[in-house]
Amino acid sequence: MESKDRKTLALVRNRSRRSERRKAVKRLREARRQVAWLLSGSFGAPLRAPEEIAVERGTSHTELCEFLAELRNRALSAPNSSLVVDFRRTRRIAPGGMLLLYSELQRIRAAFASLAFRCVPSRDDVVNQVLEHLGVFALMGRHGVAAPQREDVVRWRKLSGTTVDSEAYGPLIEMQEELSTPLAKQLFRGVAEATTNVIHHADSRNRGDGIPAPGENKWWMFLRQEESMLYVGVCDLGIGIPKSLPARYPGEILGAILESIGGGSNDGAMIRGAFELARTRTNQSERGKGLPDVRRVVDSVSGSKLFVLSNRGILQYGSGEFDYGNRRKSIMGTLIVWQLPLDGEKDVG
Amino acid sequence: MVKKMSVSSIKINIGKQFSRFPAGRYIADGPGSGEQFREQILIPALRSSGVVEIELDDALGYGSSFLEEAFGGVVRGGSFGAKDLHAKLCLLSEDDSLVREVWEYIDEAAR
Repeated sequence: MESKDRKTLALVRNRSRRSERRKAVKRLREARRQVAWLLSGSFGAPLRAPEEIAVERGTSHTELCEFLAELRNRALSAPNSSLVVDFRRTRRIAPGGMLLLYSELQRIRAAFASLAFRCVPSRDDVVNQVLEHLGVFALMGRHGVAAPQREDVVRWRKLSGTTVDSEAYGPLIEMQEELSTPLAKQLFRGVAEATTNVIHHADSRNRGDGIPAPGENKWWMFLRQEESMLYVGVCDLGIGIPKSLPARYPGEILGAILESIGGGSNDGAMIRGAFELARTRTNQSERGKGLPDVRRVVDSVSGSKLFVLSNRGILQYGSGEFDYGNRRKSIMGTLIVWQLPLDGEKDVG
Repeated sequence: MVKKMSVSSIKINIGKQFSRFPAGRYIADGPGSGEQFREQILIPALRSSGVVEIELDDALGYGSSFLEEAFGGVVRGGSFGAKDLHAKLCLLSEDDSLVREVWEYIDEAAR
């Protein structure tokens, strides 16, 4: 190539790079302008999302519950205005917390069609990828904030339903190539019973949060593979196990069961009591046999865990042991999360 | 939906002839429920045939609610007694615990 041609080519490349740089700077300025506009107070004070959208630890659980309560309050107090959610400080998103937030946003969105959500993205690209991939940004009127690329983000699946709808989640479970057939059968069983319980017992109309009640009980589900761990969650925004249990079982039976597990009637004990009721089949009713299915998959995989959160209660099950207690705030519903190491499978044939 | 083997015997493959993903208790719970299977397939088969073979292994899995309503519900609803079912029903699965579980629901419903 002639020296003159090379110079021309370099000139064209430089011009192209400068042009790209100018466009990037313009996009950045536009994004900053938009953030400044959203934070200017024109839409009321922005609601700051927690640093961690998670429920495992007490502090993150409290922060997320307080954030969700404030989200509901603002939607209720000004259903025809704008609500700005500021995700700038959010640095971590865990499946259980995200499922809860996602469900709550969808419930508010469905109840208040005139409410205009706005949002300020996170400073963390992975968080933005998750929010983009799950449609949270779209729900808040933002598109193309981040390009979901990470394997553990794009493999995050979501579903929801107002019937048991096993034709939707069954194939999703089967698609998980790392699950053996016996384990997929057990997971399907757990999810089938969790969704059946939602349809029968969630009683979302009596949740008591003031938000116009949906006509039907609804469940939301996430399935996420992160390296060699599979997280599967099912959530509902109903009255919760601690309120539904006394309505389903006579007082003397429930009292005897709670006594047998060491007494107490707080929300954590009520969740533990629900498992015990199902195990002993003290009730003569044909119902209430589903919780062993929820637990069974955990018995099949070494190192796996089951978390059940309902209202203020939290129960963790793994290696045959239950651990339960109470949190400071209520999630106002029920969240079940299975955490399954894909290399820890026992013989479940 | 059912395959006739002989005049008095019928074989039903739940996973292939009803649903690969059976779940839920009542018809109102959605497609593939225990009540739907019982009313549309199992009871008609029990009425029309001496022996009903149920192949269980081609479905992805079964929740307790499905199994209890599908099989326990036959006895509870009064269509057939537990004794009749022990005489007429043949459950086929490589998973013995699944077969035992179904019989438990049938026997419990009779108590």
